[in-house]
Amino acid sequence: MIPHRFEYHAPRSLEEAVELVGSADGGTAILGGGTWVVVELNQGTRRPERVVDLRHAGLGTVERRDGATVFGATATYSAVLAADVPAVVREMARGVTGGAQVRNLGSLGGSACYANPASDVPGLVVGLAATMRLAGTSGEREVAAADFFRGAFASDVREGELLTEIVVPDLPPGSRAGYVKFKLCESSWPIVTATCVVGADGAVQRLALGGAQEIPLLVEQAAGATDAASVEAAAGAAVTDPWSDVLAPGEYRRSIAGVIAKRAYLAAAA
Amino acid sequence: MELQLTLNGTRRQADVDPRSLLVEAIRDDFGLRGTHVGCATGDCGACTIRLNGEIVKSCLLLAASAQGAEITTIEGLATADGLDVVQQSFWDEYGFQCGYCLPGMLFAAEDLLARNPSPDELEIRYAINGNLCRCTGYHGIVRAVSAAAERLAAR
Repeated sequence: MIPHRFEYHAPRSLEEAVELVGSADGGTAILGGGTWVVVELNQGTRRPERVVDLRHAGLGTVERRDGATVFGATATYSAVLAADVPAVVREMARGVTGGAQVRNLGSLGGSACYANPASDVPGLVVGLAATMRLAGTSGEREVAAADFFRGAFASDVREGELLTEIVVPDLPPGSRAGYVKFKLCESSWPIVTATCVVGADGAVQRLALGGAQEIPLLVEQAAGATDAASVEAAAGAAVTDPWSDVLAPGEYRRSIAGVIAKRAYLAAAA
Repeated sequence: MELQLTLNGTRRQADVDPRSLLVEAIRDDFGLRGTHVGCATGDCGACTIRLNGEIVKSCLLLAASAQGAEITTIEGLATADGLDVVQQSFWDEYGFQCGYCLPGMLFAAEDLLARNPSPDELEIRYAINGNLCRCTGYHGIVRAVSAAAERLAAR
């Protein structure tokens, strides 16, 4: 039983959701799939006055639009797996911890907004140069995924706003992407993830590490690398302020970051 | 709040505290105690139900989120004729000891076999990866799901 009382709203449209989120004077929790937030409510670590549940707000679609795949903010991992999406996104969704019972609830958008360093979505969307679309009573705005994550469990979603879409642009022709995550066992959360995009010429275009630091780390020094050893060295050196949590200390994450990056490069270059 | 559900094929309603998790409403307000609470953090799978056709962990949902939903719990698997094929296979292959994990294991197995009638061992292990069992070491469970697949194919 959740220890405190709260208002519950399940808006039936985006407009209604924006109005609800925008009119609250603080203390609003937004439910995407609920797999993180409901647990926090139940444990009493988060006590919002109002809960806005987006499950009926019409934000659960996945569609192709203008050279991009557009993920509605509440599209579940299962919806992603059932849709025509880039292979690398499929790979990520398939590996989300918690089984079908979590993949049927948890959403890409919810995971992005929760911004847990040790989760799959943040590093992937940064690696794929996604754009995050937000809506609030004052209008809409777009933020590059690389600017969306502000700290551990902190995103750029402002008071009175909600995430509406994640836009993942198609890779340039001939480019390929790889996603690799390391976890301690089947039921573990990600320790370090790597998303690597390799161009038709075999050179790294983009490399992002998740779980290694508080926010996803874009490894700019890896751009242009054409061999696994260079990728490994660049990624390893890029981790200067590693993230620690109950599953793994920062030094461990730092020490494996290079190898995970190398594997993502090899997956993309294969 | 008044919560209305179609629960194991029957329309039901109950007065539910709006602070309830769905699993709490199912157990305490609708009286179906087969759905278990292990962790209440989404890790163990013992609270698994089928919600509008998809299996979910009912500790990760507010009861209010299920308003009007169609729900099958573990009590809804067997019929008057006896256990269903997957349940019988778990029985025959020692797929459980204490039975606490069964809601998750059975629904995960049913969900897998509905999509993939002849899974190999890796596919079975992937399908049950959202569930923790502390009795069997999973071997009996994997055997049970294989046996269920064979029995369903032989029908």
